[in-house]
Amino acid sequence: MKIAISSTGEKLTDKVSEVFARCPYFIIAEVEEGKVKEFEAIKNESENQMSGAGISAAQLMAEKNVTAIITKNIGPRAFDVLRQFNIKVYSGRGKVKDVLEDFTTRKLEEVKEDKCLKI
Amino acid sequence: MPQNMKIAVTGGKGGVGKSMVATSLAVEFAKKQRVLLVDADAECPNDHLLLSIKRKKYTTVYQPIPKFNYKKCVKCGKCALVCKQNAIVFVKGKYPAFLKDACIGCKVCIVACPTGAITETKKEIGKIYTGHYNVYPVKYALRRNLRSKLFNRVNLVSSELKLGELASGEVVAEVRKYSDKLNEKIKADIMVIDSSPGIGCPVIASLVGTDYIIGVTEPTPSALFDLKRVLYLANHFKIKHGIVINKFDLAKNFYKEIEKFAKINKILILGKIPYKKDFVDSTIKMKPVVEINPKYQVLFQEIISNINL
Repeated sequence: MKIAISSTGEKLTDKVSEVFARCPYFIIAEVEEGKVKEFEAIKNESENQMSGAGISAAQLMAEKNVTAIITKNIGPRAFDVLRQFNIKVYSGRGKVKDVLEDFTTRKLEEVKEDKCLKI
Repeated sequence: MPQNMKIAVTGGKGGVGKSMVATSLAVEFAKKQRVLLVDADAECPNDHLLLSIKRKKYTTVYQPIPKFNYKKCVKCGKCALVCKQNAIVFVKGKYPAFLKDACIGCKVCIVACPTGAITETKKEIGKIYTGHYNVYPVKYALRRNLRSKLFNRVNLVSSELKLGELASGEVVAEVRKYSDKLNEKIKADIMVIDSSPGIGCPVIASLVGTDYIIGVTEPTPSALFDLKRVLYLANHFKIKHGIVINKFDLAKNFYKEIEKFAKINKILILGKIPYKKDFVDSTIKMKPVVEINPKYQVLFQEIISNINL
């Protein structure tokens, strides 16, 4: 299956980005039987978008047909779009390759709702 | 003063004392007349806090949004193409995703859908609350046993925009409609509308259809600049207006500038309010300033008598 990680760079040794929609790169990895078979880094065109970056980034994920994404933080709109396309969200931090390994060994926690301030 | 008069309190700049003036005037009006105070600052309504009013929910304000029937959907993506707000996300081969909070209710997707898969439903964009504040006519103020029978009321209608929603103007327009409807029951002589700062959609929704506009300002260049912009609106709608200079003693020199501006443009200065600790106490203690210190009653009564129609 295909997993996307919001990344600070193009390499597996780069760190997971703090943010989802405005991260510099997405690393899309093909994971099979617990191993990373191949990966590609794509530049996030919506990184510096004035508004609606969350929507565009989530749309890109659906276009790339990913099953799940790994990020540190995610906004409510991106989360909503991903949910509607049945794309799961996992929270992870550290190096991309470590996070991927944690994902394959099911160590990552799934984000079930966006954590924003409730009044 | 004629019956059913609508007075809007605005000013352009934030923090000049619009809500303080609106609530104080409402309390003073209530000593002789029936009053309806409309908090039209839907983004940050505060009038209930200035008068210690416990609000009750009166109604909910809705906006139309699309509802998707995926059984009829052919995944053509036309709805997403026509959506100017990008509230519909379409990815080839998948059903469209819809973002409720980005939608502004234009319904163009419903028109564009070739298979009739989109129908109309609604989302909440705000709430309207009501409440009241009891005002005791001065001569009975000390006779507790008579209080319950002899008080007058400031009736409050308060609007509140749902967080994350964009349509504050619509919520204000709705609260104005509901105030008119409620007023058929209350039969208020005076409706005081407390607008939000700015000159945009919600402010225009507060000003339209009023009989008089009170521009509250303070002696600072930024307040005068903003006042000019909001009075431009008053002129555009051909609504009579006057200004109240709050904190006038903070900058006596610039106060003269405002006087000059008023004189040149033939705008009446309805009153000037000094900068005193009583006003801070009033906000903290959540009581109208005329109750903190009754000497200000004269000041607001003077403003009332200066409103000329």
